[in-house]
Amino acid sequence: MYVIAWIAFIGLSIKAGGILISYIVSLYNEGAAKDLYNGMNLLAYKEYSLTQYTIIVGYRFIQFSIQAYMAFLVIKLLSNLNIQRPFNANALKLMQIISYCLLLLWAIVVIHNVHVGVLEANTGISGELLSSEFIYIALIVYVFSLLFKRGLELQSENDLTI
Amino acid sequence: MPIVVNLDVMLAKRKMRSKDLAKTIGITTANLSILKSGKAKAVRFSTLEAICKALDCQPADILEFVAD
Repeated sequence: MYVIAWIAFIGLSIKAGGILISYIVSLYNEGAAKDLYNGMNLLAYKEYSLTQYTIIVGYRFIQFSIQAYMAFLVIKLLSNLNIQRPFNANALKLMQIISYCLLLLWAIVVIHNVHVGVLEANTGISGELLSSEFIYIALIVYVFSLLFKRGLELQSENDLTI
Repeated sequence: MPIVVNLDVMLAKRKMRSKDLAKTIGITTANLSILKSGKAKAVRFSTLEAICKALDCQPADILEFVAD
């Protein structure tokens, strides 16, 4: 798990960095917007408006940045994990931050999809919609963090039972 | 907390050291210290029984209710 979290963190960081660099290159090179990252074609947006193109790239960059940050939080969570005493305040805090990040990610994806939809209706540029199922994962992680909080209270009570 | 642990008093009466009591009843000195300082949230019946046996006393000699 720890190794997978590290691989995810490095991969997502490269993805976020790659998009940012490709965006900077695409400002000076028209063709770069055609294949911004891994086949992501945003040339139509760039030809329509540089501002819209920047905002669309911004959504993707923020999305991958948040995902990379979440992978980093998972690394921290796993590195501090102690099976003998699994409930601790630090892990609880990390789980809560992860659930808030997922909620933020969902909000960004929803805003992105609405933006793409509005652009499609007004200009006819069809864009790729992002999956907005983060809300379910956010809720699950949040519920788990609440259970974790109760577990922490029980563990603390158990520790103080002589 | 309204429950006061008078373990120190009983230890003094029996002229026993905390370290020896901890060893006799099979708990760590750190846990005995938690119990003595009143930081403990609960006491197991087995622990109470062991303390009463070791100090030859009743639970009421160790625990006392004092209203806030």
